[in-house]
Amino acid sequence: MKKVRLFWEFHRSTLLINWSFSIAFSMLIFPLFFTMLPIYMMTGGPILSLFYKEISKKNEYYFYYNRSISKVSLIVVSMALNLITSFVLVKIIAHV
Amino acid sequence: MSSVLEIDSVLKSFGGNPVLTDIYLKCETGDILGMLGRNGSGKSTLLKILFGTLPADRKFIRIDGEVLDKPYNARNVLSFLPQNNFLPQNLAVEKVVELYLEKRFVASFFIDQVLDGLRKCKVSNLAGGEMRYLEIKLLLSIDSKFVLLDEPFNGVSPILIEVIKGLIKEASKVKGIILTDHDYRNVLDVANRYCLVFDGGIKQISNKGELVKWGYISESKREE
Repeated sequence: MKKVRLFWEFHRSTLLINWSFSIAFSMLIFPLFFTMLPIYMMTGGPILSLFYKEISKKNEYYFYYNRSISKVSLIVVSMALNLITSFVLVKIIAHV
Repeated sequence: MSSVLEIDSVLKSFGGNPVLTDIYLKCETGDILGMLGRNGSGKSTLLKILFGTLPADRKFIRIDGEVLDKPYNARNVLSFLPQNNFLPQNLAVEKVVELYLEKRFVASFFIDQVLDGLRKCKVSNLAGGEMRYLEIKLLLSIDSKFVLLDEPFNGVSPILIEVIKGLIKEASKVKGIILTDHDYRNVLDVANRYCLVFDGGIKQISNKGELVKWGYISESKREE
């Protein structure tokens, strides 16, 4: 259970940059806002967020290493959660 | 139950310059191994290789008879305090502790003269010494067999260093601890075994005179 919470905390720490980027870039092509938003949320957004972590908060990975969680598994789980979120968003948009 | 950590045949170069050439190190439960060495001698590099986050050109790590490539991936084996702060800055102190410790240990963790009152505080708002103390106490509290401490006394006030040394001594009853710091007086005070990283290898140290012999401290410091 602790590991699930740690994976969630890592994912949560990527969301601010991910969502800010995704919303901002989707608004640039406003007529396609709802089409582009889920795409950015599972591609450019997380990549930018992970890149930011890599250059400015690299040491925080030790917080997870010390609980036997590797960087690869953190990234894989976070990307999977982004994929699920985007999928749910697409479904919601399709119904609206 | 006593545990044994061994690292052998470590070879590590940076840009063709060998930093570590032939290292053998052994640490058992109850050991507080003080590792000294000049700047750039490879102490931090060795700890990162041992933890598994820095690849080596060659290495052999064995813990309780099991050969491990990345020891940090193995459950409850190794913890590592890196030189720079590693706690997520956006989290509250209480949250950090809850993510690391079982719920039943959280309350007793905060019965502490330093951390009392900092429970709701964000990690980013802690003073440098408080953050270092929190990191060290957390790592010594989790159930790993060995703890690697890279510069635990850096930026910490003398009074807090005494508290940290007490925590290290207490934890060594059930863990093996390897620590390195340039504050050699405190390292010599808290450790029960010593070594010096010198010229890519490890020299076992039994007294201060040997630190003079290997050029780590000057003759004038011998009697201090």
